[in-house]
Amino acid sequence: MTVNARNITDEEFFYGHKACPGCGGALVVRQVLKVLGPHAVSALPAGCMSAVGFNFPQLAFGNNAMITPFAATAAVLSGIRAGLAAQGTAPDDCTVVGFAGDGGTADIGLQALSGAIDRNDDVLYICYDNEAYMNTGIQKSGLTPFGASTTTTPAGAREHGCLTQKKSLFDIVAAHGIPYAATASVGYLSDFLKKVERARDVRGCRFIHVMAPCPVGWGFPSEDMVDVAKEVVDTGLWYLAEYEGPALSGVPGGAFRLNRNPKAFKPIEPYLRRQGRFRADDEADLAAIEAARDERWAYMRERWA
Amino acid sequence: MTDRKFTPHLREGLGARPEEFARSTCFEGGYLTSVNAGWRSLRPLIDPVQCTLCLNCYMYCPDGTIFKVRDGEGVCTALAIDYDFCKGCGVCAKVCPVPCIAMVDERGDGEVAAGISGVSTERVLQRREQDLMSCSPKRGLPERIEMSETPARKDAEGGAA
Amino acid sequence: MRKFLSGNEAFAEGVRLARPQVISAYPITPQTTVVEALASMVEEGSLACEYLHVESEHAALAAAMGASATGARTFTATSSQGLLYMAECLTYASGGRFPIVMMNANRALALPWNIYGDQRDSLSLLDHGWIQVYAENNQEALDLALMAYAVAEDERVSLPVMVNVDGFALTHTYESVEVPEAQAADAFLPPYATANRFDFERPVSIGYSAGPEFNGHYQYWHHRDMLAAETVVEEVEARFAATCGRRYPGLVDAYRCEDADLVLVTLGSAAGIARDVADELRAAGTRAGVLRIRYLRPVPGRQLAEALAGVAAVGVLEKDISFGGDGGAVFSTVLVACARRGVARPALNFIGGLGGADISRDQVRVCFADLERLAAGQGEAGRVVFLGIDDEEGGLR
Repeated sequence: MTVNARNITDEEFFYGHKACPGCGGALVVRQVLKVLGPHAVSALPAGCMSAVGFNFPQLAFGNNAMITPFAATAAVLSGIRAGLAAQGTAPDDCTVVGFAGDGGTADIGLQALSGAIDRNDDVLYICYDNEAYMNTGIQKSGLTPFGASTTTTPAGAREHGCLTQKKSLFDIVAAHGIPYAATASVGYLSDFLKKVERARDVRGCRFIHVMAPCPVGWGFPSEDMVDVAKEVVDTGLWYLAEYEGPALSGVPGGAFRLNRNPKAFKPIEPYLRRQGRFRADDEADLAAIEAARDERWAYMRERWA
Repeated sequence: MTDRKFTPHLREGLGARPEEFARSTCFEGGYLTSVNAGWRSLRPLIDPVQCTLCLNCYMYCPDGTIFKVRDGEGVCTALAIDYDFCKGCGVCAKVCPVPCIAMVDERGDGEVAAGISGVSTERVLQRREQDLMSCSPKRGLPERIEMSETPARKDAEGGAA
Repeated sequence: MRKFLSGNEAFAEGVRLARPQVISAYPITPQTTVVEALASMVEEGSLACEYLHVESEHAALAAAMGASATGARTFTATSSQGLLYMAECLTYASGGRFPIVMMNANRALALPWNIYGDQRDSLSLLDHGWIQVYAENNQEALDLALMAYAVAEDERVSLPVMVNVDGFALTHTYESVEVPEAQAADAFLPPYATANRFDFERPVSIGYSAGPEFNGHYQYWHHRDMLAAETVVEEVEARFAATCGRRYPGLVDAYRCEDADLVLVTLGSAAGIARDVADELRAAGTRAGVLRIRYLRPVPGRQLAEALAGVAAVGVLEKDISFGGDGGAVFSTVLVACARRGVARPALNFIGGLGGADISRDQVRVCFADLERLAAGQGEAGRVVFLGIDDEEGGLR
């Protein structure tokens, strides 16, 4: 049964946490756990969601949850799954799920993630992407977009922010031939929850990369979080896609799908201008951002659409 | 609201001695000892008459503090907010399509502070006095709601709101 | 059953008897043959467990923690740079009170790059909250694989144990070893049971953060329970003797120390040759003894102070150096243990065996000769002597 606002459980499994108001990451954890139910076992590395989620004695997880070393989210997930498998005592609906940020996934945690996918361990890995190391105070990560000012790519007279493009994390994951991977945004919540359900029901390693705006780090009012999460998709600066591995899709090398492939994008300028982190970007920067977007979409449309 | 077995809830402090809690980092989950109400400068108020129960606010709340009020048959009849843990981020007001959620200055002067939704606070307050909070009729507005009156806490005591 | 086994093969036999439910390991010389042996056991069906082929040592220990948090008995093994690579996870595992057993094949640290045995790897990590024990021979290595679980999982302890086995000197050297019967091992080591695990009826948070208000309590109890391991080690060894037939002497192994004037303290496989030389000296009329440290965490402070209180001079022979410090980590440990208990004896530190160099009989004779001179009032106490390098000059002051 498809989860929706009416039939989703009344239980909250991430509650009373200390995330900043309007936190996209908190919404990710909250909703994923509601979809997975009380028998999920969560693992979270050092990062925003662990920092706000369990600071003894304020323990905001209603399900079993565990902290992991920063680089080790996926490895701990593998260990949990192996331990449960060895004992055979876990409920059938027990999903072993990790929640790691962009830095914890695409940078320091990438090796462990690759290992877990390689082993095809039966775990679900959620990367909530707020596009910088937010817990430590907004430093650039491998998923910080071009032009975004962070505390380690500060906008100044010389440079206007981050000089690199986001890593193509989804492609990297898919290149392993993982059974199931998807991208999502909390701005398109029902799409996201559908993918969580899909991932929940696939066996083997699963991965979802979900855009989770950070009002503090991006510089917009907290109430705009969902708006911004929609707009990043509508402008084409993020995309909603799925990958099914060879076994699931029956296609050698697996199959990609673009869940949204609009004829026209919303203009990027209002999206960028509403956020403090892009404030210093000039016309040339905007043109570069747009060009990178178009290149990415040309690539995806050619191969995935 | 139906009974919630796993939802984290407030406790009377720690209630464990160091030799009980400090010999592992394994402790009862969902154990809350402090509220988040103090973070809030704006308080969301739901107009129950205008509300269509579309559940957008419920779904998008990053803190899960908007909950379904259910009647004896388990039918959701209204939405209410756990002000112990609401941080006043305003996402609910912004995603409300009606719109029927006002953001009111927490200091209690009744003004719409941020203009997030453009809802008339006065109208909302009147309606609320009439029929909001069927789950907790003694709640007066807009004064602060006591910690002991939170739905989460009631759960802990075994009484469904 | 008696078998002719390398240290790694012997250790793998011990691990098999302990019936771990999850093994996660990453290969590194000279640990490799232990994880190869375990993989073969899993393949042939003589060991039923989940074997995780992780992509790094960091992941090896992280996965072991995840498995331990489900209540599973877990094993991993590493060496040298691998141990340092997983160092971050060491404090997670010990602070989380996960009774993981890890074999560390003692090996030199880079640079210069070197694959041979010394003890700088584990000794540099004494303060990461693990119980550390050092095997002298392959039999002890095997028996420690079993006993380590019994100590680690005892609820008074609940700490991970690092069993150190000298790289090559033991790991790749064959000895005749008595392998306990599975029935005896099972009688000795019951299945792991703990409350430090996920609970699907009453979910738990594991490995949270604890701020300044509470943090000190965790460290206090970690320390206290580590100290309590001394009693548990003795109880476990008594049970092991009753079920498997071999008796071990607790945190230290004292050889002819009761009336000794000169005692050489050491650890691991170097102890054998030290005892030979002590016997030689005894035959020649010198009252020499050897104190082999088995457990360095918890520190056998009382045993050290008692054994050394009446000696004329004490030497510490170790395959370690704490750069810019007071000799090696073992030397510092011995001196502090004695000083804390009011014992102050003239002492020398002998550094040898670095990067796999042999500790020769002649070198041990040099150690005792130096101690003899010190006991006679010649030479300065407290010197740090690099054997074969500056022993003729009398070492560093």
